[in-house]
Amino acid sequence: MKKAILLTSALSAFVLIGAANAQVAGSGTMGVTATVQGSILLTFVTDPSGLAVTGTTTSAASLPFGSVQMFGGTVPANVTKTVNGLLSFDLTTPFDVRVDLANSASATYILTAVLATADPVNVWTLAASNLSASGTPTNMNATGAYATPTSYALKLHIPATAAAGLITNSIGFTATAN
Amino acid sequence: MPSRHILPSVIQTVLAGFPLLVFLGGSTAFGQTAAVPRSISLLTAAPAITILSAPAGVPVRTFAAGNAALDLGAVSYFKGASAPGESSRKNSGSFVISTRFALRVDCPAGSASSLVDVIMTRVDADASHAIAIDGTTLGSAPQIFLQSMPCGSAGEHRLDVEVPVSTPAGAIGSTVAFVATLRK
Repeated sequence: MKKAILLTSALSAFVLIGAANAQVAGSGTMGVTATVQGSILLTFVTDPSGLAVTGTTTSAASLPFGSVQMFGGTVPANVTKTVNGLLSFDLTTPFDVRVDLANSASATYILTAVLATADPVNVWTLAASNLSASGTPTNMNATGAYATPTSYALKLHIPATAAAGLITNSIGFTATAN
Repeated sequence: MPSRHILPSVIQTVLAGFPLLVFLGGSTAFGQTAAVPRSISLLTAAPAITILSAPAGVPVRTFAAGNAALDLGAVSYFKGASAPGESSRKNSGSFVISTRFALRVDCPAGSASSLVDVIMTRVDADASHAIAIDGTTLGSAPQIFLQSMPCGSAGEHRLDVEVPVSTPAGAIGSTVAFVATLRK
């Protein structure tokens, strides 16, 4: 009986010591989820031998040719003027398009272009393809390489019969991952 | 004769059981029964962690027992974050989605301390993204999150999820575990 009491006491002491040293801790968890989407970015870049692009390295840029005339006058830097006899003249300059990709295994992209507003007077040509404002966008590149600026030459054909004044338009570009 | 044998046998049984009855009765009478639940309550009355939405963060779905879920929704490198309460920034080879959440710790009445230490651990090992809280990148090893946080208080924290551009499109997910311990 004495031995039994001693044993009981020893066990009790052990339990109390255990309680005194226990780390009283509470826990919680936070699950964090997201859905990563593949994305693509198209930017315009000034070509080394082209007219300076306003808004270079952005997705909304412009090419300001300034004041030009068929005969005489000055031609902006890095713009080529070609006079076609007495009928018309062309203004040509290169600019670059860069397409970047993230979170996708695509190796190449398709680039298309379309004129925002139909122009019944002048002709807008990009990389030797006439742009239109209706129908299927013009295919500029079927296998574009990512992260590399690619040069495209824009040519604006202006007839001699066109009235003097402002010529403005927009070209919409679409890059689609292959 | 047979009756003599029967009687001692009954007495022995009663006597043999007596010490046990006394012991059980005595344990109640001397308060030992009360002492056992007291030690159990010490072990089970732990700080309670609650994860909540921050005013400027994405909504946090809070479940019972300290569990919560935070969904950043659709995110992408070039478009960034789409949900209110998120911001994003681009690095050269990755993008980071940031938001805020709140963490509250309540301690049981009569706690030995009014302060807690909180550690955090990332439970998963998904290499498709990294998670940081208040600028500390989480890993599988427990890291100190908060020290000497007053019981009953809540704090707002920043969560950053960094996704490399090489991560394939799709769902990503991680679990962050928090453990709050009463300071001695």
